[in-house]
Amino acid sequence: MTWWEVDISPWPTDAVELLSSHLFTLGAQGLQEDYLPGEEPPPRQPWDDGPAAPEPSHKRIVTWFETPSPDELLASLQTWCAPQGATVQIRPVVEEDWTTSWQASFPRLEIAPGLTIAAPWNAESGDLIIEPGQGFGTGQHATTKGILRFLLDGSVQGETALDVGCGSGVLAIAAARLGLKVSGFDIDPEAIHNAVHNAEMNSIEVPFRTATLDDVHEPADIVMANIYAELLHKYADQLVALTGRHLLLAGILADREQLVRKAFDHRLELVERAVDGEWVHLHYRVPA
Amino acid sequence: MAKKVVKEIKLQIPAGQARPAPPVGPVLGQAGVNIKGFCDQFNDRTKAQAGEGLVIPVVITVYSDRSFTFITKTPPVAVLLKKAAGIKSGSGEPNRNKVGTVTMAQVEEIAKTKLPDLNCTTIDSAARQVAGTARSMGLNVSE
Repeated sequence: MTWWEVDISPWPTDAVELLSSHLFTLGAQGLQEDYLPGEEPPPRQPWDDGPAAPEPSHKRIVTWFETPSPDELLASLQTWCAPQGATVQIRPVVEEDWTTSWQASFPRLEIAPGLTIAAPWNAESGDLIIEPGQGFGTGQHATTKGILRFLLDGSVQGETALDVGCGSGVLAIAAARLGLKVSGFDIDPEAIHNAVHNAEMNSIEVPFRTATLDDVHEPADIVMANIYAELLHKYADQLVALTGRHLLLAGILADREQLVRKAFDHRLELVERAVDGEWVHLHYRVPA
Repeated sequence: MAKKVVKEIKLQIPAGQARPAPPVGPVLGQAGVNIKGFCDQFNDRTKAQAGEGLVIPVVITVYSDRSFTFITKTPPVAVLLKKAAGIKSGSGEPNRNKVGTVTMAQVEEIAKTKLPDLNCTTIDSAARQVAGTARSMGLNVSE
């Protein structure tokens, strides 16, 4: 059996369900609703407000069949799709072990001397293990690295830490490895699932829970928040109230830095500002 | 976490049957998403519908560090209509060749199921959309 990839485009967006139904009747194994070249809108960010961009009138539909010979299938699809003005193209899929290829794309990553983040399949002794999944913070991102570097540079002192919006739990697990008593929370239960799994893989106990900033009242010496600028601004009061000594902020796009600075500069002392590409990281301290 | 979205992927996959083969393997692999992690979670979330052979639309959001989240949607209208009418496929010539009948009650039931994913706010307007799809598949809609 050979896999065949069938590309049907342009197809009217309001008739995608009809096409989908027909394709699955013919034995399709799945379908992707994609954009025509050049028509993909910029992805909608969590901080974007206002209505989503309208869908284009036509889409590119890609579907997959497993069959020894595609000739009959192609002829039947061409007939079925012709009245909509769509072109049907078919090509064999070059089979590979997609899981292995994906795994190979996650190299071990040295964040700082003594801290290397790795996935379960390539971890070496002493690495911090993170399974890339539904919690943000695989380690492969500037904002995660930004806070980890603050945490490791020696200027941040304390005994307890709180990971606000913990995602994969990477920051909390790194803090626990430094000997801090840490807890973490996130609004996304899937992320908490991933964080608990990651803590187990590192043989570290960190209490992770699903919660919002409104639910958390126990302060910590070090508060780490890798969330985006609009949320840092919105929850500035709670973050300052929770911070015993140090507040480490990341997730701030450079063009939104002033929003965060306005909320924190007059209440805490800015110790360090770091920039990595389009991201800004801020280390604040509670004034003596 | 500072989740910056890099891509949204829309797939349709039979409930409970995601596996590291097309479409999931090549599409998610190219986007850098954990293929096995997605398959396990999708199959777990859709196992209740797997016995009915329903196709589930899923939207996968990929973030800048290649972590992901996904939401599953209700099965396509056409799939629900075929199930209601007890037919295997729609008509190639819907105006001339009718392949079955659905009742208005069935149309309204489907409209209720699909309301969260349709571009409308009332059952009435959702039902009109569903009835339109039924006719374009070659189904009569009876009162």
